[in-house]
Amino acid sequence: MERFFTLWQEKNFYNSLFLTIGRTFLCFVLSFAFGIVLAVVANMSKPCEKFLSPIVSVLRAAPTVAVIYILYAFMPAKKMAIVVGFLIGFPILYSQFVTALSEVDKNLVTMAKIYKVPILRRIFGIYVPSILPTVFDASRATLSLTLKVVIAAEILTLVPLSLGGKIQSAYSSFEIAYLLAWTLLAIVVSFVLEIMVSVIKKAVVRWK
Amino acid sequence: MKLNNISVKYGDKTVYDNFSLEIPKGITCILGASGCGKTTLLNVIARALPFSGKVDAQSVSYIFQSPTLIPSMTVEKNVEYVLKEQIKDKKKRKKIVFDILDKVGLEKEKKNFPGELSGGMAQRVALARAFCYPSDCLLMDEPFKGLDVTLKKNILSLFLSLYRQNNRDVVFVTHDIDEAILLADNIFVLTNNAVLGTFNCNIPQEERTVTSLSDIKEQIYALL
Repeated sequence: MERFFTLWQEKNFYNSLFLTIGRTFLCFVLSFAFGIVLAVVANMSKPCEKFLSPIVSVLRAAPTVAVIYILYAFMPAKKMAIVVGFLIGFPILYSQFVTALSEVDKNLVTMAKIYKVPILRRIFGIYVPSILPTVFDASRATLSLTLKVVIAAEILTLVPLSLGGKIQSAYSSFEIAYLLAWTLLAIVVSFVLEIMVSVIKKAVVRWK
Repeated sequence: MKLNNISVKYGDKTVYDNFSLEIPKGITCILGASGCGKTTLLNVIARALPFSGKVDAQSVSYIFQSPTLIPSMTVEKNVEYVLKEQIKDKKKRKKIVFDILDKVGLEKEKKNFPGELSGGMAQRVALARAFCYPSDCLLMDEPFKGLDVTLKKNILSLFLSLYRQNNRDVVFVTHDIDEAILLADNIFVLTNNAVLGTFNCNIPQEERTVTSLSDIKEQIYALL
């Protein structure tokens, strides 16, 4: 615990912490953007959904560490952490968004159509609020998972300025106190990210 | 309102084949057994499903079996949602919404979300939304189904009061004969792709009782 509270005095502490958080956010934003766009496409077109379904299943089933090692052969370590995070986060978000879109109340959509509500107001009045609770719940879980995967990729590929890199160097030099302190920091960051999403959800989804 | 040569198919199943019907003014009830195509007929009039043929209804408002309110919008916003394209002036629109909510006794609940309302309140919001929408015809798909007796009586009398203040043609479907004879001016008994019988109730709604129209009830029973 003492090590944990003095970690901030370490050289490159903030660079390591914020670069890992930055990579996590970048992965998450990419996963989210691809997930929502492709889920909308899949919801509108059955052939597209059938085409994407096996790809997403393969991505979901692929062992994380194996993906890290395979990608390590093709790209620099820093970029690789982002790509791995995306490959893990995207299928989860995509599947959740597809399910949420399929569960939008069809009667509400019919009602809007009968009352001649324009398509944009149907999207923002019915579709978006209907999927928002799922979007937040999926985001909360995926953000934590993405952080874990990014750190794992950083550990395995020895990214110097990163949480994973710090954990790796603590492990290499058998400094167990440091190892535990950096691990605890990763848990705290994950916890803070989850709380952040929960707070935003509470502010936005006021009707639940 | 006229329906001419209506044909509707669900996959291989033909629900209507060159079906025509002239619906008179006033409150019309489409009565029939489950699965005979009552709701499909309403959806054809509302143009809510693909069909061939001609329907001469212009704009319609619709009350579903369930209140069909948007959970993320307050009562006030739910009613206003359908009016935005029809009434561009915000002040005028707000006034219409407040007036109708006042009429259905929900002015205090205007900031509530649908999840905070009882079943009866939610159905009153659906009535308010349908009656404030500037339509030629109001369609209702078993709107009183699932309500308990007291609530049903209150909603029926609220419906009649709104109908008298906002006069327009009403077409509603039900399989409840009592509901049909208490409300409708005209009753069509429907079976698959055909009208089995037509009944006219000339007595004003407020004077009607199930016993005063027992002869019509018996004739309808005989047809079903």
